[in-house]
Amino acid sequence: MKRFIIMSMVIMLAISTGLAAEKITGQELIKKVQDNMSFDSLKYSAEMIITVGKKIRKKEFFGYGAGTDRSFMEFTSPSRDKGKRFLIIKDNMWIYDPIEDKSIKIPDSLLKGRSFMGSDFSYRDATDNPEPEKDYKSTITGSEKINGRDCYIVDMQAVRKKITYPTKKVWIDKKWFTMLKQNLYAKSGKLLKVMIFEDVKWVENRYYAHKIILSNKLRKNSRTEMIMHKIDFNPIIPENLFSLKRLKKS
Amino acid sequence: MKLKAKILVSLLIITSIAGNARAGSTKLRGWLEDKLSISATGYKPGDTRELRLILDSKINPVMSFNSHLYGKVFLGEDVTDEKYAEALIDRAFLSLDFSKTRIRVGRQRLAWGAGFIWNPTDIFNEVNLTDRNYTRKGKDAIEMNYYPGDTSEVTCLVTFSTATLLQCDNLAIRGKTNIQGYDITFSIISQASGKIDLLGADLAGTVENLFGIRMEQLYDINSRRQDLSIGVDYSLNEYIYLFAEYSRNELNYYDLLKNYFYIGMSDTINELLTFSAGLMVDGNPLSMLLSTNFGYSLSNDTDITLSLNFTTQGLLNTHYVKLRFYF
Repeated sequence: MKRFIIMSMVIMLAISTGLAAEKITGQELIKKVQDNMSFDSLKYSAEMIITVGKKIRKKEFFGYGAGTDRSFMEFTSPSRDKGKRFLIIKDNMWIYDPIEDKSIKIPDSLLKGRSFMGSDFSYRDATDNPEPEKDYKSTITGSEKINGRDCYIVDMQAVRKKITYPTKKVWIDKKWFTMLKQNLYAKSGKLLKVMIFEDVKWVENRYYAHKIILSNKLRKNSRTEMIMHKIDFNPIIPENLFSLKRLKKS
Repeated sequence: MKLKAKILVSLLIITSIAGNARAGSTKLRGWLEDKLSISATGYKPGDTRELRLILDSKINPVMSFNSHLYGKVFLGEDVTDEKYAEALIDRAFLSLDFSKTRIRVGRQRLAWGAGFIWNPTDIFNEVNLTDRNYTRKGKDAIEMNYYPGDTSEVTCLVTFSTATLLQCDNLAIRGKTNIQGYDITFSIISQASGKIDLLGADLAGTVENLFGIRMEQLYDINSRRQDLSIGVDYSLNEYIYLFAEYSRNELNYYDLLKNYFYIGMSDTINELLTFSAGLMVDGNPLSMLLSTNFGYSLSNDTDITLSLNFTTQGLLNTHYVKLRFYF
């Protein structure tokens, strides 16, 4: 009898949890994903593998982030890019050129869409940190399996102007609440980019994708893989890191 | 540079390497570059082979030493000619980094100004007008930077004549800050006269989130003349970047003409292939230079560039291939 009661409770709990999950709205789902990805501070080392046809170029870098509006990034290889640094404070971005020993403010017009360090990512992809639950109206439109994982399909329509991608379609893992695929569209509805998120690992109470594969549909035979080798959430941030001083540090 | 100074700098470099090599805090990098004219008749006077060695040495958490050693061979000259080769210590400076302050002592690049093509306020480093990709030579100086905020900076600068050891030729103070997304800078320069000779200012930002704008001005109080540059830029799409800049030179620091106008574009076709083109117009008499560059990445560390340059005078057309290997 006792076993029956426990069994019944487990089944009821499973059903109710399942129902709750089914009832989740698109907005709530995107908020949950965003919460999963947000951090007070972050430290990482990463690699970009850019493939053009059969040619491969690799770039290594490390970086820090704090909140949604501060980040610092420094390239460590190849030799051509070594020592190049990027600083973002709110909507401002500066680049430091170690050969000229000069930091330059990058105009928003350049940020808008230009290729970031030759990759398929644009400066905006690398720097944009919008609040998707506020910037988009999100609706669950179905379910689909991505890499064998059950995912919600969510359509996202921008609710404000001057947003880089007015329409998005995202696939969100039903259990991990992390994004596994994202299609990015122009205002005209043309598919611009496809992002695949892989190598999802449990890091400090969250599932986090350590690999992003980006295909730029406007470029032929070109794709960029971003691989995070190490991620530390909430590390100790060095003093004055997000400043012009650190940008030009010897 | 006098022999004593040369010996001192060499000793600094050697000490720096020896003291830090074991700790692994000295890093050596640089590039080797050949610039060769497209010609069927052997080397031309502008053909060069250049080596730049960059040494970064971290002595301790506060102190570091950086130097650029630079050598160039003019392949078109006769081997016996004294113009055949040049070698110099382009940069060699000791840097002290404190919490909100940095002090640099030695030969260094003093990169002032916000302009893309022309920098009227960048009066300290020697400029090469015939090669836009030229890395400017360092200036002997003591520079102190104080950072009151994350995006603001106050610079005090003393520069010294290259010809005469420890003879001061410029005293300057500069303030920089960011207001409403615009980087704004003001500077005051005394050319060792004991009074204020030059006033400088520059601005860089974006108008209506649409196009970038840059302005820079240097005003001579004594002659009441000025150098000025104004530029705009715009990203047409993910690949094509357009920019234009106007320059007015009344002070004539670098033997420039009075008015220049430049319009250019760059196109990142992909990570491997880039294209850029620029048209420079100067007046009285009117002349034009059209410059086109095709760049290709041969490997992670090797680039090749084909440069075709056409002038209205015709005879001054130069076309060359540049091969650069980074290490």
